[in-house]
Amino acid sequence: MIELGVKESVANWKATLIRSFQMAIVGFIIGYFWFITTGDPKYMVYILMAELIAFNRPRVAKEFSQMIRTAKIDVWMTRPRSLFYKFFGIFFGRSLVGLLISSIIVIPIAFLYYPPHLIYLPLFFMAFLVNYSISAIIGYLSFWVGDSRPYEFIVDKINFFFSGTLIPFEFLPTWLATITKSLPFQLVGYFPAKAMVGDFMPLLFLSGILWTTGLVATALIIEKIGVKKYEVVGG
Amino acid sequence: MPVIEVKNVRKALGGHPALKNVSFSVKKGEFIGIVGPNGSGKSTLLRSLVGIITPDEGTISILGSDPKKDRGYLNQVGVLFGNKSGLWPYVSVIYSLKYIGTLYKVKDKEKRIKKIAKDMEATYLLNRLPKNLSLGQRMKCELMATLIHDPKLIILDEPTIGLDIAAKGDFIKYLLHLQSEGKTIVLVSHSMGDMNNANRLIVTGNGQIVFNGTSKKLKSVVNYKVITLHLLKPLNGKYVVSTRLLKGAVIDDVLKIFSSKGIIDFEVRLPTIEDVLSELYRGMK
Repeated sequence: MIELGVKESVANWKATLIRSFQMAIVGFIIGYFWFITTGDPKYMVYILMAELIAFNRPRVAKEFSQMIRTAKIDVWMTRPRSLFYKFFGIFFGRSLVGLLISSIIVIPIAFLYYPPHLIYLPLFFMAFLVNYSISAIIGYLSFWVGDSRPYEFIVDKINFFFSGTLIPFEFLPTWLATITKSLPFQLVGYFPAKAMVGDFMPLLFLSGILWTTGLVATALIIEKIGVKKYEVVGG
Repeated sequence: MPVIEVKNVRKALGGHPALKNVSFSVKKGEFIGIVGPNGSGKSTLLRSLVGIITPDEGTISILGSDPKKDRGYLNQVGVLFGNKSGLWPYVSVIYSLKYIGTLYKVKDKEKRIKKIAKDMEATYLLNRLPKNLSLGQRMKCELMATLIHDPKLIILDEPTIGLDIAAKGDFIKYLLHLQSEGKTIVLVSHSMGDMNNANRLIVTGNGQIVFNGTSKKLKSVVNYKVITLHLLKPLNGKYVVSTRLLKGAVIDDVLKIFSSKGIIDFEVRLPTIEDVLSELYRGMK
């Protein structure tokens, strides 16, 4: 399944490459801003890492929404296994290619300051799973509202702020930092990016496992309810 | 035990009845054609059969399972939607097929894909991109995806829509080959040409089954023959006109009516399935 996503991304290499450069430019601008502000290169690497994940997050909501609106989902509903599972590998493959291409630009800078570590792999996977589950839940809303893309836009903006991709939590007011640290969005920005710059938080990792399990379970339940609710007229 | 058993199924969509007390069954190895005008309930019936929508009342059994409760039966059913593709346009066909094979846990996917492709004379398509295929070629690939897990029951929704005569012929020929292997086939189509080979036709109208039987029986529903006349002078701008010859009518009487236009030639034939269905459809409106 991952193979199909990888092949697809390689086939669309131009788009993947443009997105990676776009990510690198945005990452450098925001990262450089924090580097100048704090005088600490750690924050530039932090922002680059957070951007790396944010730019390569799976946008399955758009795909699900379109399939539900056009009834193309019929094809997938007549094949075994959940929609969540069917598209997981494909989107993982896509994200993997994007991540690798983006990494060519970003990782050498990051590794200049912080050496690579194996813990990054489960953290990236956890970030992918959280992003995928949130996006899938938004996509499933199309079973009720028809077109859930506007919700994806709103959640994207919330995600951008509350994941710590724009502002590291240290620079937020205490009350706001407390709120952001109680939300799952930190798992797709703040938490893995902090680990990359040497601040791995084991307790947060444990709560991350709980959040991820909860979000995957929620997505599967919503899918099940949505599939039962699905009604379509005409061929 | 029938492969499909539908009993007193009712379904309302958006407050309007889409299926009204529908009942029928399909035996193993049968080739069933489901036809009906737009909005007659064909697609709703098909979606109910494959568990996409749940009937409000009545029961459906597919290979002994309730489609909405037990999804395990999907491993034995292949479904093809003619106007919806399940292939990835920018990736070679073989990768989409391998992926679909993974969903069905097909063992030795590569071998299975090559076998189907060889049977369908479509090996040359495996390394092509779906976005570059003609409609006929794409439909062959969709059928390969439908057959990847060697299903016992094959359900097809308008698979020949937009295909040329040759591609349509090949497609139907392959369906007949599948039937000869013991597979049960349910074909939903507007194309009457597709239905000539069906063992049985189910005609839907206004959410009900208005006919269920062989095409021969369907033709006997109407009580007329068709007379086609080739005229020397045009009648309403036409040189070839067709009209019904009701049972008991004398051909000479009909010819007399058209004699002023100069009859070059004429032929009398039994109504085709299209003629009969047109008649049925008109009656439904």
